[in-house]
Amino acid sequence: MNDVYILDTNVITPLGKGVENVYEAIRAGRTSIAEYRFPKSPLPPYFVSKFSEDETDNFRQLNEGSLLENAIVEAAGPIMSKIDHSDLKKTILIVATTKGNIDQINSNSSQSLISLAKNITGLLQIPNKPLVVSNACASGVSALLVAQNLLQSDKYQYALVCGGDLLTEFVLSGFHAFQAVSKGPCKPYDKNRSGMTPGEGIGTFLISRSPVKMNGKSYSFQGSQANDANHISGPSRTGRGLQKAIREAMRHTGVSNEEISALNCHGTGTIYNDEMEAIALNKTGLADTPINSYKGAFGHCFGAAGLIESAICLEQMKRNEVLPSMGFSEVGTSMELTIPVNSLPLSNLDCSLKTSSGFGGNNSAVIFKKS
Amino acid sequence: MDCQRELESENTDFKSFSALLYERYDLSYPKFFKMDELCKLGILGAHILFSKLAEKEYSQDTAVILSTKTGCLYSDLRHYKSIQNSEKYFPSPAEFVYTLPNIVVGEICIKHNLLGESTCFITETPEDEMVKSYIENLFIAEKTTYCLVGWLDFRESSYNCQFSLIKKN
Amino acid sequence: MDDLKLNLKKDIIESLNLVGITPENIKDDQPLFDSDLGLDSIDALELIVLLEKNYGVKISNPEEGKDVFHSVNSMANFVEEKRS
Repeated sequence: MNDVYILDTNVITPLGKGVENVYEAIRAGRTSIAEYRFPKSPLPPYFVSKFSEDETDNFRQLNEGSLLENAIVEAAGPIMSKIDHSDLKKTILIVATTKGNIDQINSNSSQSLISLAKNITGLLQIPNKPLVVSNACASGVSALLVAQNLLQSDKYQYALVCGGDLLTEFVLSGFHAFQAVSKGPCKPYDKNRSGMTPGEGIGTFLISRSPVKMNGKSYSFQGSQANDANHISGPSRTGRGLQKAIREAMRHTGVSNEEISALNCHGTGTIYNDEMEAIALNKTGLADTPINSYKGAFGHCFGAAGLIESAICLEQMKRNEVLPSMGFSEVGTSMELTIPVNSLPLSNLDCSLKTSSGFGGNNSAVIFKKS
Repeated sequence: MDCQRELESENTDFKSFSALLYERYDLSYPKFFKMDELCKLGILGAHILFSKLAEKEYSQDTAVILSTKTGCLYSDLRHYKSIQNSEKYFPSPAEFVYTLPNIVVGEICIKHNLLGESTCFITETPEDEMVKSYIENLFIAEKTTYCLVGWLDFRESSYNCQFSLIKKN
Repeated sequence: MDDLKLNLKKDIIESLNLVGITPENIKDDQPLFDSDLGLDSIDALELIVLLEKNYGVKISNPEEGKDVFHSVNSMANFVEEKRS
């Protein structure tokens, strides 16, 4: 397949609005993770990354859609200004989400995921039928690869890929039942890690079929997806699905492991996920490549995670550095990883690998190239 | 080679219908009874499809591309109900895991040991043209030689599973 | 104690959807995991919910769960212990 090109990205997270702001916050060692208790819920307080009540109310009032729809449109609006109104008819909206408008489940309005996407196309005036990609926590990266696939034909010139998920009691109660939530803020890859930190946020990408520049350089990508076929809620111990996705991504982009300068994987802070990634990365010759996780800074944003994190990866490529991982101090996986504890400058970060993995066994790997 | 199996039923109790098919097609897979309705529907469809094929007629790289409209709505409602009463607050991990529409894709991959690309699309109606183009691109890029593609939708009043196994020419 | 064990077996069968299994199929000292019952990690978490919901007994530490859920015997002993 041909590469596709990134025109622009934008994110909104409890840590900040805008890619540069979130990047600077991570660089300065800030986090949006704090203890929170859902009002009137028997759930104990947990460390999560959540928008404030004011921010949430603000999203509700911004536009005619639901809370999540308005927040996604708020993030996508600025990047959509990069294309002409006449190009909207050649644009497809792809939404990455796990639960969409689940906050509305008690009302009779439809919380169907496709209604969410249709409402967003309405608010953004995109005349084409949208597509929702729902691959659990791998949805974000998966949606980027779906966009790449659909842009191979000239039916569309642009893809607007939007990821969004809310942190609701619905979701937190589920991870509570799974005993998967970290006691304190999560510690990706750390020997004292004890679980994930739920979060919420929006990530948006505008992608072009033809070469375009972003910040004066061309950022393109390709990738691959593979299933673990192991367990619906647990990855294969050896990460066979992730290994396959990574190898195939390298094969399709023509990039070797030595040419990859930085990694950002799923890095949730659970015992199993981080251990699986360490094994998979060692087996694919990437143990010596600097890796980080941003989930210690803004939590796990589920369907939006892959998009928010990819946007930060691209900002790293723009600035030629690898950020440290909040929450990490000493590696605690059975195989070694190279995790910088301070910001690591690189002479030219022109190729990075981003992966995501999720319930249902999807592993998605995307390789970003800068030229 | 195209191999198509269609299961379409209206106004029939799904629990009885699925149990009947489980016996008739000799499914013999105890995990079936832990699944939600969407996954049961998908597992039955995939089992019936693959049972007509010899192993060499598909590969471990087979991609699984499914589309649905309603997704896991019933699992969503069950999980939601389980957290409404603060005196009896017992969210179930086994129920929660099924509140993701792509779990059915995962269940099919596990049962048939499929390690290829697996994706769940949510669309209003089957988008045959889009999905066809998507799969053609996977074939052209040599990402796979086979693809299990289908439309899967569960509502109590009507459930629909239409699966095909497609091979690259 | 025998009643408790029988109830535990019935509850295990129902909550883990073990179709075709009867209480007579589950021996008191039979290891519940690594056996023909085919239980997995989600079932282990589900048993924690079962004990809290039906018996009012809480396991806060998953590590504790490994010993408690070894067999119906160990489950019954745990419930008895917590209740007294």
